[in-house]
Amino acid sequence: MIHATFGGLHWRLIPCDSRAIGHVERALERFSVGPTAGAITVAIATAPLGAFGEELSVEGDESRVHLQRSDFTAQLGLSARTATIEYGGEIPSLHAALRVATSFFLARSGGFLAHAASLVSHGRAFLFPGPSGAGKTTIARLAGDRTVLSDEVSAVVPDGNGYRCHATPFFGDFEGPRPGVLDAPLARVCFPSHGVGASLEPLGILEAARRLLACIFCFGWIPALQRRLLEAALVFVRRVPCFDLRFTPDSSLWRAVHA
Amino acid sequence: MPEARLRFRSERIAWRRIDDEAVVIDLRNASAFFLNPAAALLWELLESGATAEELTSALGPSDDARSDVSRWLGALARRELIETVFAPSPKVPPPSGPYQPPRMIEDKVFCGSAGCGKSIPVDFNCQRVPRDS
Repeated sequence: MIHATFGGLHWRLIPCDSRAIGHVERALERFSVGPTAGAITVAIATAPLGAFGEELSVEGDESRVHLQRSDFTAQLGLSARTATIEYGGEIPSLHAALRVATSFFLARSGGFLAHAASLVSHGRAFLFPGPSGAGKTTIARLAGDRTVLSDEVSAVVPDGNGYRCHATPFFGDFEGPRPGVLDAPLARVCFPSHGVGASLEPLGILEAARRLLACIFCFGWIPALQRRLLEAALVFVRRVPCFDLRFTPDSSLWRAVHA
Repeated sequence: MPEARLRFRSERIAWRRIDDEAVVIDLRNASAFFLNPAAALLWELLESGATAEELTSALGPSDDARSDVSRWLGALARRELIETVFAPSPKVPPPSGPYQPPRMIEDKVFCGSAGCGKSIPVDFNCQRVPRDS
């Protein structure tokens, strides 16, 4: 059994065979914690499924979700906070299943999983959502002594009147967050794009919502959960300052981000 | 007295007002529509049902209102976002301010690629990745 905290959620993972044990330990080595009350209990096993697949099938409702792809299947009990995952024995499939599961559990609890890099500077998190090519990985590479929570997938969770940004085990070229720094209060959101020089311009609510909604992970067609995500995004952009960030890959980036 | 009116298909839509604008999401295909104030006003009337004439009068006097409303309704109909129902007459607010044609920007929302993770190049638009060794 492995206890982990990632994506703003507590997990109790039960790998059911030796291969799954090894994969879960590798996938979550930076996120291991002691037992935590209220954790989501997940049974994980390898199974003779296919290779990394294309189409994800999603069925269910606000309480229960069934996921099916050629390389993994999963049953999510969103109300009961339980899940079972079977995957075809390759770690990318396990990652994919966990990522999708995380998005559903977060949606159920008022948070969301974003296609975003996130960094911590002076104890505050900065979120950089954007599609491929927007500059997320570049920003992570320019972090210097700032802590990178993720270069690809970041979790946002309500925390009192604000939000916290959390690291996840789903990243691209980045090697993973530093041990011990896995989340921080979220200060602002900067939607990056490559440009000349560095500039930060505040966004109106509607434009911020438009950009953020394009970067929130949501799989399948479960109206109740999609509505929750819409509501979560709109509340979020009213509470957290959102900016358009144009930057060149040099130190001027951080002067703009902190402006 | 109820008569044939246009209404948006609430079972496949999520929408919210944002100040005087609105965002509408077609839950079936994750398309989003960002409505200017005029379109947001008309959209609210489409919640309970309204005729094209009622929508036109809500925008106020303009030679372009009828055609603008018709064009906008056509865009909604092509996307199967509205249907015809029998409903009583809505309460149409009196127009205020200068005329503004209803406009909406369509975009995609919700990132839906499961991708993969650590140690393997991630391309959220790419469906194929190398096998783990």
